[in-house]
Amino acid sequence: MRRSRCTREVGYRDSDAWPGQFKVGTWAFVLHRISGLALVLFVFIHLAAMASALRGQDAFDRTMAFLHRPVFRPLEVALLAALLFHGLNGLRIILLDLGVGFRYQKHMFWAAFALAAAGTLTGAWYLLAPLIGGMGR
Amino acid sequence: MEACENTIRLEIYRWEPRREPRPRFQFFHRPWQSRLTVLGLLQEVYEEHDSSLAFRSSCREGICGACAMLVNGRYRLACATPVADLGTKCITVAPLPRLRVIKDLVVDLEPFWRAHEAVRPYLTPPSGPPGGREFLQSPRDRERMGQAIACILCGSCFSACPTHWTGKHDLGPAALTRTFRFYADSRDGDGAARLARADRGLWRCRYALNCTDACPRNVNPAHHIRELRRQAVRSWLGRVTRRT
Repeated sequence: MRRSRCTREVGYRDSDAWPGQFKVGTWAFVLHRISGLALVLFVFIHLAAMASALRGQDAFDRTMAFLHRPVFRPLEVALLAALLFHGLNGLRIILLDLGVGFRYQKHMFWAAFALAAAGTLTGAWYLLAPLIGGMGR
Repeated sequence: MEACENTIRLEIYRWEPRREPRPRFQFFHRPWQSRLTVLGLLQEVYEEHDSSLAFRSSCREGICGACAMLVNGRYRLACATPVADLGTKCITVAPLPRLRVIKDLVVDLEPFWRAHEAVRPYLTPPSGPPGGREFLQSPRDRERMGQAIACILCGSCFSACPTHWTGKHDLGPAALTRTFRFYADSRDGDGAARLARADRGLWRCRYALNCTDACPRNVNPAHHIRELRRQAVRSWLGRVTRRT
């Protein structure tokens, strides 16, 4: 055996960031967390928007007018994506908890991901097309 | 990346956190030989080139769990991994991720052992052996423990579990598998208390199934966690219905 003179510096301090560690299960876990947190955040925003009705009709109309700005459309798409993925991956987790499909957990993740992506793209078409077409409501 | 025709190109993670600011990979080359194991390569490096290389090993037959590490990005026991099985002659060896590196391939397994200790990983029979001789177990009762008994506590699943990455006080897959192993043991009499002790880690699993993927002994910790959950729900339902 011979030793090479060269060594390669590693940018990170730990061996944490191995790209190989980002396996299907890790993605399912991370995306489920992120989408879950996003949904919790949405619930609070939603409650705040609805609560503006307590301050009278005008206040509620102003809130709604504000939320109907085009800026919020992409956020609605993101909400849809989070909702779909979290729900579908939630089904995967429930199935696994019932002991169904341990062997197919990766396929189940990809199915959840694909369905969520398809749903998001379809939704995005309806939500964003009016903006792009310049026919904003 | 250079080609590795008839040459093994070994890349080893080196880091001594007390002295070096960041880790590096050190390279070695040797003629191809199919009957070597990864541990054999590490020993060769240690004996012939660089005795400052730190790694754990003991039994050399895949039963002690000391030499678990990442080989080409996969959790493996270095001693039970022939280089011919890797499908490549470029070999990268790194320590178990998400655990503190002490030196090179040696990580601090303290949190792993603490979790293991917390579930009391030993047989607690309700009384002495019948007839004062020994505890017998039928093959059928042995079956109930399944593959859980094959765990050698190498720490791979603990290192791979994303739930453990986010919670410092989590038990982790190995400790829960060990809980199941004794819970399902017909000679054990500590079932309810075992479920209670496992409670803090049991419900945090989100079925990433990285543990099942990682296990070099083909144990399926996620499956055992599920089974423990089922038993926990069952005993809870039993308690609730008895009360009303």
